[in-house]
Amino acid sequence: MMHSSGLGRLRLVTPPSGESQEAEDAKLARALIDGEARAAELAWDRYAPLVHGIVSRALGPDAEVEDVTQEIFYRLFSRIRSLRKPEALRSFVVSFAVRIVKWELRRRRARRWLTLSETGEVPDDQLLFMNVDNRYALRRLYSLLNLLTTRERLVLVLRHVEGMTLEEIAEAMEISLATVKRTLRHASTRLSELVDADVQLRPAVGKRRPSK
Amino acid sequence: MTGDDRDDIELGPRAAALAALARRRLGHLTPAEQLRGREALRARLTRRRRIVWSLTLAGAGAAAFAAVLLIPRVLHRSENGPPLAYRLEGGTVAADGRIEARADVEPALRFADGTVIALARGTKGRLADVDGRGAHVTIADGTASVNVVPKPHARWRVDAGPFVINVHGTVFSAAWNEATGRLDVRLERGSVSVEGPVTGGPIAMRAGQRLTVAMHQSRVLLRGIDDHEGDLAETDTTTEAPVAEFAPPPVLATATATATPLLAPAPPTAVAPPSAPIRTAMRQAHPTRSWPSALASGDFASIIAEAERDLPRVLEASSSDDLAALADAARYRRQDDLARRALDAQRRRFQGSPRAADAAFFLGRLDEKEGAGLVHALRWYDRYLNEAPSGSYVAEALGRKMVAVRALYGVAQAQTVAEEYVRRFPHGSYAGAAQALRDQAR
Repeated sequence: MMHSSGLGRLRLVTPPSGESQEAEDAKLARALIDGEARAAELAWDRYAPLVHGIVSRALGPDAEVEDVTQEIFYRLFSRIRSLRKPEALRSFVVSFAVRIVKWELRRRRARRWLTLSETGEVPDDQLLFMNVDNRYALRRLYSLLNLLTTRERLVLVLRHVEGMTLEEIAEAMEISLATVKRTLRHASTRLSELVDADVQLRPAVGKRRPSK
Repeated sequence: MTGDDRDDIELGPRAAALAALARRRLGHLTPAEQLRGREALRARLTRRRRIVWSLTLAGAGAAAFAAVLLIPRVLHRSENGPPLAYRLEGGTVAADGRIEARADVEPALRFADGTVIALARGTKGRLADVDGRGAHVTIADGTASVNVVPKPHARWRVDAGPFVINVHGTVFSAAWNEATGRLDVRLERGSVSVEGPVTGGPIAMRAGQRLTVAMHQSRVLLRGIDDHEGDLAETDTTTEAPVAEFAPPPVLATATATATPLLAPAPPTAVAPPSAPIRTAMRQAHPTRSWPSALASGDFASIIAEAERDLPRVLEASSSDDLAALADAARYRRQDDLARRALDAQRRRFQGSPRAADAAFFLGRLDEKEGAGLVHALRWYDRYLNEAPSGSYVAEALGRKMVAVRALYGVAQAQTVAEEYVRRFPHGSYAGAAQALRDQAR
């Protein structure tokens, strides 16, 4: 079992009810593998919020978050038989989601290079009800994240936004712990510098914390 | 604190504040989104199950048996393991993957799993990619003979000119003539699906069939492998075939358990790009070929392309389901004008139906996207709330109404809507905002 520390970093780490959660996961995984009728919907109900969170926070405000979330589950079910340990369904789902998000980020990066179209500044429903400062701050944050490499961006978001432990990130991204640490160190420093240097962000995240 | 956390580098205070903002404000799935996602997922999975079932019926039992035998071995192999080893007989593979044959030799790619892809003399081909599950070969001009050893999870793909042939374990040849724009696929064993210009979606082939596509004439011919009747001449300019000769795109035929054409001996079947009346006839004859299915599988582009062939007719004659699918596809592709026309048609032609009510909500969203359309958006949300008081989008419509009222008429006016929202959806995605509005007004 992974452990975690730090404010706001418990959500992904400890299943709500310990072993019973693993037992439930194992049962669900076996039902998925056996192709039971309701299993896919149960898996969606259980994990859609988690996957949606990862997708949304990694990609940023974007109209395609729902589509990508959907795609992750669709592909996941076709690959469920490669799950070796049914009780590790949660890790499997997270790892799978991260992999798809990584591809999506790379695809977008390529498209940005080719067409200068996806700027990451597409307005989205999630921004509609924020105050102007916060909306602007989030858009700027994700446009700055576009300046990092795909790996740096993912490691940083999974750690600092999604709240995963370094070990979980290593497992989900299938890279070594040392690589996670090195990448995170570089990404954190770089993003901090970018944010501090961004004069346009100052009104939004000045001395005070962003309000709702 | 774990060891790794001690090595952790924290963000600077400003970046950390932004990260915290993203954590708080992004990634929360609303109940409506969750419900919508579940429905879409269910539709996609149902379609996939049907296709798998049909392919199983049509496919070779031997391949399935072999797959079962191989599963234990495959399970112990990493799916993303090392690329298959291969060698090219009779030539070399250039750095960019081009297959350079020695003079007067027919080169053959031989893979470690026993798969062989042989190129006819003079064929221009390229080995585009090789991974642990198969390879991707492209034929720019010429003929390839392919013998793929069937394995679970194998992934082989041959591109012949602009056509994509997805291989599911099989023996076939594919010839592409760049000059005449003609593709000829002869399938001896197994199954493949062919997709490209003129095919109108993937065409599934079964053993013993031959597919010829004359791209320039927009003609497709599927028949027995030795059947020369109805061969397409290189310069064939035959006019459209009568309705009776049309076959549904096989991939769609496989989408229903009752569809049997793939199992029956295949008569020569000519397929030309259908005109609007023919398409209508075809769709009436094969009601399983639906845009909702295409929507569920994410094929938005083909829905739009089909609709745009004769949009006025589509808007006047399509079913409510098809109009809804078209509107969704257009919205997802951000073709707002097309979405709006489909939604307008839905409301005009199916007045009083739940879909017409939903259309009001989506029209509101479209208006809202256009900066000056907030007044119109507000009217649409009101209409939706009146027409579908317990509809799927009530919470969102009410939330958006609150936003619109606040923007148009100020906090005091929006308070009433906020009160209603909090009362009806105390845990809804706009609840925090509604609460804040109420507090602000006090």
